[in-house]
Amino acid sequence: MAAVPIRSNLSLRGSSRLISEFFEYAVNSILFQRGIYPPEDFKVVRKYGISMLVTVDEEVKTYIRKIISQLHRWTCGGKIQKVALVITNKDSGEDLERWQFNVEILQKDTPISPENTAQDDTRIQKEVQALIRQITATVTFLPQLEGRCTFNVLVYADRDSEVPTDWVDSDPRLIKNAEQVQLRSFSTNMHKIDCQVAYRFDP
Amino acid sequence: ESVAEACGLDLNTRILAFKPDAPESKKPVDLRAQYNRPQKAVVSQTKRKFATTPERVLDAPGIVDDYYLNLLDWSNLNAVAIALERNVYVWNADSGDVSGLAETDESTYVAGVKWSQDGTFLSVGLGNGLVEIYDVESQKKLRTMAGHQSRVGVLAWDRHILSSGSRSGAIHHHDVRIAQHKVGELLGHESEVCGLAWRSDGLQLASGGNDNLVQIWDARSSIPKFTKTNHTAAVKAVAWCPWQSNLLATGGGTMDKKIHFWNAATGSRVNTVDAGSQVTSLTWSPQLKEIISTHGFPDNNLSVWSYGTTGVTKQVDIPAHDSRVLYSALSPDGRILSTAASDENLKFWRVNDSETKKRTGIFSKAGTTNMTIR
Amino acid sequence: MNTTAKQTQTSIDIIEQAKENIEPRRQGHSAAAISKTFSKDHEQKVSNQLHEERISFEEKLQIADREEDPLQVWIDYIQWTLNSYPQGNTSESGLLSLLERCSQQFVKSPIYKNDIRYLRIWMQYAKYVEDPAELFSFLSLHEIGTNFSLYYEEFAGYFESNGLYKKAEDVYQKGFLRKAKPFARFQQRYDQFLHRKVIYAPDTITMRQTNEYPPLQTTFQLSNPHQQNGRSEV
Repeated sequence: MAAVPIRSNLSLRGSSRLISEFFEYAVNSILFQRGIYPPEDFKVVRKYGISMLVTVDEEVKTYIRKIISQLHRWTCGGKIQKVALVITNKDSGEDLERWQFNVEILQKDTPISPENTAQDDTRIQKEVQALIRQITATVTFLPQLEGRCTFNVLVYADRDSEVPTDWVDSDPRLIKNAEQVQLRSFSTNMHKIDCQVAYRFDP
Repeated sequence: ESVAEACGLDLNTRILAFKPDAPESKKPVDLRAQYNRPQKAVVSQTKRKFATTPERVLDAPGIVDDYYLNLLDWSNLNAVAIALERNVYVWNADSGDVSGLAETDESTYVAGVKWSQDGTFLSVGLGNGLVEIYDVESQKKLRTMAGHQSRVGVLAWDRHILSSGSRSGAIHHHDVRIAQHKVGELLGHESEVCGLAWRSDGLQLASGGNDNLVQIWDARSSIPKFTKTNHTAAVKAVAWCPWQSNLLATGGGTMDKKIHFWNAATGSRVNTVDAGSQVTSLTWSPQLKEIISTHGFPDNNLSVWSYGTTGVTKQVDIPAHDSRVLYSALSPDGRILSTAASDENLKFWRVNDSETKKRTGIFSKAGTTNMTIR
Repeated sequence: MNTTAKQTQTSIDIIEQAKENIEPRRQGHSAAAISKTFSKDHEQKVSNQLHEERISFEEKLQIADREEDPLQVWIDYIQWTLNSYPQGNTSESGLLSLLERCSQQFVKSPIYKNDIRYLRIWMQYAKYVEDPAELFSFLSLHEIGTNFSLYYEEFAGYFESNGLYKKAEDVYQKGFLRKAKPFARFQQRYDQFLHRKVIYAPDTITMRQTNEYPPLQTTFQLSNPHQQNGRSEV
């Protein structure tokens, strides 16, 4: 990954904040929808011009925060390539479902403006809305998760990234013989995020 | 190295996992939500009696099972229009006669039907994006209006203005009297428009779409006055209250199952109920303080709710059809609700049995034998 | 997306356009299959292709008993129906009648009595019957699938979702007697049931709240609730 030019740092920072925030909401949405935590642990907030669900469980909130703040550091450094959320059956240890977000740094030499313009914001909001709507729509075909399930977050980072001690090397935990579904993408002036979900379909 | 390559991994990449385990869920999944088919009609403690069996059943072979379409309507002149694949049939509820009114060519199908307010014209939306208007008395097609790029599944009339909603998300206003019929275009929805209703005074239009949005438009504006994002699934059921003009009810699809009530003057949500199933239509009673909802997945039922100052209370659940109740229409006297489903039945339910001088003539031709609409 | 290069990707767009026409199912749907189904519009569906495919399946059914594994012919047909009609049972899809025919077909076949695939067909059928409890009793009477954890999970799940925790408990007890397999899974499902019971219906807890192996009920025998309610057919 080429080094990001210094002059776009400001832009990268602003965009990274948007991306990290998106991950936080996306993770919350997936945990709610997939029933990893009970629905009464979530409350409705207004975000991206739509209603979103976020956890009110302090422990879960803190856990997600820890992940997101590290993601944010890596994103700001331009070190991150993918983020994956893997849902696992606790009893069998089997990975059942894997949400992957690809993070692409758009190699624009000089962004026209260091910050997103109001026009950008409207476009980004619409794109994010569309993606969240698609995440919601996946429930129509994803199998109901049975038994006790938990989740893990994986990050594909550059080899030279600084790694805090609570992050460890992992295999990619791909789902074998999975059905793969591609969702929409959205982009800021610096990043493009696209999303896919892989799941085991056993008729 | 080969493993990394097989996984498509760049050697300059590390895969890292956040090591601490995610917190345990404090509550297990509630299995009660999983099987919730009503076995029998459920009636709340109320004095009001409900007919839980249909008064009449007609066969409707080949009715298309598609949530996004609107294939049934009942006119002010007591005629029921129903679209079956490429054909539109009109069943005269007074005489019991059936006639074929329209047939599309083989390349398309009927996606929406709606009577004009006086019942003299039927508008028909097609799979190819065309909108047609038929004169019922002469049984002739009066005009074909082009403009939409994709199918037109929903239509709404305000006097001479016909509004049409399309799969593209666009809503067009057509002035049916003039050659250059397209007099307005509303581009507020990102995805198929499947719910559309003018308020009876024509001052506001409400729309619902597969983008999960409800929009409320002032009559001459092309910018939505309100955009409501509360539903988490498509919105097909959109109904204005006949006895409280600012009150709008909207119902959400499979992942939502909610009925929201809005004050269309302020845009505020004044009530919400969880209907438990995909909401496919909403019909206010003109005489009673009631609203009727029809449903798809999972219960395929019909529910009657009382609407009053104390809130919205379910009065009865009726297991109406063997499959999704996708289309419904109320008789002009407001007493009979017709419902159509992919079990290929068109059923008639008495939803208001209070005494009336003129009863809707669905019994004029006596007899209980089923008949087929063809 | 090179991490997944070998697997085919389905775009969600077509599925999202038709999201309200997809019946939620516990086992989910094949996104690839339903996307293909919804890529055809109604005018194309009326065309002959589905009709011809159906005829071909019906023909295969006619000669299925010559096959070594006739049940698989039915399963393929059912799966084709599920993929071609994501709305589930409609007059057009004929899903219910197909499930009914298949489940009736092998009631007397000893080779399928304890074939999990056959039980799964019954479980799909159970979703559509008016009184699932009666169906489960019928299966018990004919010893169909009664060795499997799935049978007890589903039977108990039906009671549980109707708030009948005591009856659900009784079903699990029968499963213990049968050593329902895979037993580890059965044990987990039972533990999870107890956990839910504590939370959602604490008033039904009478004696046991732990995950102990329940005491054997020596007086228990396979009753025939089917006759008790006086019906002879499911």
